[in-house]
Amino acid sequence: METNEFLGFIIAVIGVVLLGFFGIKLYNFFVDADMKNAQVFVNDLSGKIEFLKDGESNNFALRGMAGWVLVGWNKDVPIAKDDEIIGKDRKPQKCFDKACLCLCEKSITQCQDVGFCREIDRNIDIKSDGFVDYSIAGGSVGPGGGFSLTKGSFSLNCIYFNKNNLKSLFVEKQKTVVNIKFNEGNKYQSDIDYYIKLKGLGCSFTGP
Amino acid sequence: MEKRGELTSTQLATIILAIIGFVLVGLGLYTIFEDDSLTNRDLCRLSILSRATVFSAGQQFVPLNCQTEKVCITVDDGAILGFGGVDNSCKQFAGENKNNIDVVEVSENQIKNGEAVTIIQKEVANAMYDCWKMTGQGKLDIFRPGDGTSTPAEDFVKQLTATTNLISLPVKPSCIVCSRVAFSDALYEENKKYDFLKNINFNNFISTQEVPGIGKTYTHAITGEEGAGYGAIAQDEGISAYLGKATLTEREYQDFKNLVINTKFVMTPEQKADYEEIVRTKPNAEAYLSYFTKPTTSNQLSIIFAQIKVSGETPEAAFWNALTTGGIVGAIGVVTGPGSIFNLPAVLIKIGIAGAVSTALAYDSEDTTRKNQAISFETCGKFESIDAGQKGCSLVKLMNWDVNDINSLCYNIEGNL
Repeated sequence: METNEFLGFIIAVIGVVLLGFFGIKLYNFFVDADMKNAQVFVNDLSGKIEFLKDGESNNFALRGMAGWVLVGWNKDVPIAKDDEIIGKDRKPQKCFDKACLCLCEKSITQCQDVGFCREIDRNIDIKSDGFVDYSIAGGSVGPGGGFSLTKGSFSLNCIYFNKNNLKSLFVEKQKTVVNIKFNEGNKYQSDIDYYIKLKGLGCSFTGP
Repeated sequence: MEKRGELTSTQLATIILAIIGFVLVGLGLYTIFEDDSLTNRDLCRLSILSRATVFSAGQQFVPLNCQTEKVCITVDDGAILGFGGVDNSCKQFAGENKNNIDVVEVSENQIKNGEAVTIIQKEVANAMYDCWKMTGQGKLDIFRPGDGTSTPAEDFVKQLTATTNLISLPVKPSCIVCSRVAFSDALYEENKKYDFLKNINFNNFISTQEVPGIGKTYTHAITGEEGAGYGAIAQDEGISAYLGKATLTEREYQDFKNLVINTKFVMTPEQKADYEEIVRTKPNAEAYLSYFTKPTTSNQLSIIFAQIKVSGETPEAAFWNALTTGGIVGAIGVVTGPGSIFNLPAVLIKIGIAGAVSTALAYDSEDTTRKNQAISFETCGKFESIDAGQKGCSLVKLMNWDVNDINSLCYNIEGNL
């Protein structure tokens, strides 16, 4: 091998290594902003939980992530196998055998692939509840079959973020469990799409 | 004779130069973002600069590395060698990492000699000034377009579609929460003894006190305009005394009308017509004033940087329209920046419907809260961005730390709280 060829080879190797190194660094900065935000959110929330003392509680205003769902699984919930759907009674494999807090995109069924999870040192209970009162035209119930009424309280064991604005989450840390609650407030006619969305998140839902 | 496929010296030099260039850029970025010696504020400023120097569609790929500063204003715990002190912590920050909380303690002596009031006001004023500086004095194009209901990836697609079809995306304000300032229970306990918080007059402070090392008052340093600051205006104009009043006596109505009609400040014909309509009848004036929320006090304040991008020729109009339809007008402000678009009376009139905070800060008194309203510094004009002609408005606003109030201003929040 001639000196020039050897020099060229060395330069090429150095170039490739450097390109790879800085390419990865740049990738981390510029790509996958959503996952990074999810990671920041979960780390931030779990950090606040860690810093709370047992028996202490606080309302935390956190920046929501539009289209993402906050959910938690207890230690004793079985891990979903490859052919099983993630849900209330099956947690993502990334939680292993631990209790975990996860932020998942669109639905909790996506948590294994598009979500970020973090281990929690005790059981976790996440709940959002509210009241709904709306009517749907063309329904089969009601006088003359003109509309149906949907009215009553509802709750689900996850928290949905529809906007990137602030959400006030009540966090209470007890010896064996962390409770995270969010008040959805009243949902009326203009919130139908949102209410339907809540029903389809894959969380455990009770309500009309 | 050259062999086929062999690199020429020019090609080799180009490759080497390209690699060196890439390494330098990479090292620069790596140094900036991984340097532990940089403060949170430095990192935020750098990320804002990075964001502002890329084209709109690429902005969502540059994260804002901004951490909300948390300040706890409290009293000396009275501990001797770490023993026997009272709990002087800010409960509002329970669950927050203590290393991320700046604790400002005032001593009993400072309370007695009046120094504590200055310290408290200075902390809030400095936080507002730092926020304004950190965010490029409102002149940088920071936020990606969007209405806060979609992910960065979805916004990217929306932006491309909008650009292709020559349409404008919705105009919604985006925000960074620069600081949260909390007042401890221990501070309020001391106030029961010495009643010192009543002496806080933040409006007056920012228009009379100088920013350390700048040689200008806070108002002057931020707005670039000398003379009467908001504090003086509020006292001279007297308009703010009527804000939050849903009913006016005949005399009050006449006084309010005279103040608006005979204002010494210059207005455009359109603005003048608007104001004349507001005060044309007593019900009109009452209806208008009833929209304003009486300012409230809180044990925790926030300093918010908000920005809105507009595509029209008159950014100030779109700015106000977006804020009013969003349920919040903003606040009393001091006009500044490129263009100085607003006239002072316009800003005075456009006081916050929601989110007004007492400028007596932590002190709860009907007397002081009524005559004071929220403070903001704002600017409208053309951003210094890579997208030529992008216009918008920016403001730094002092608000209570209230989720609903903040959401009424901010459709999209970035940075870490």
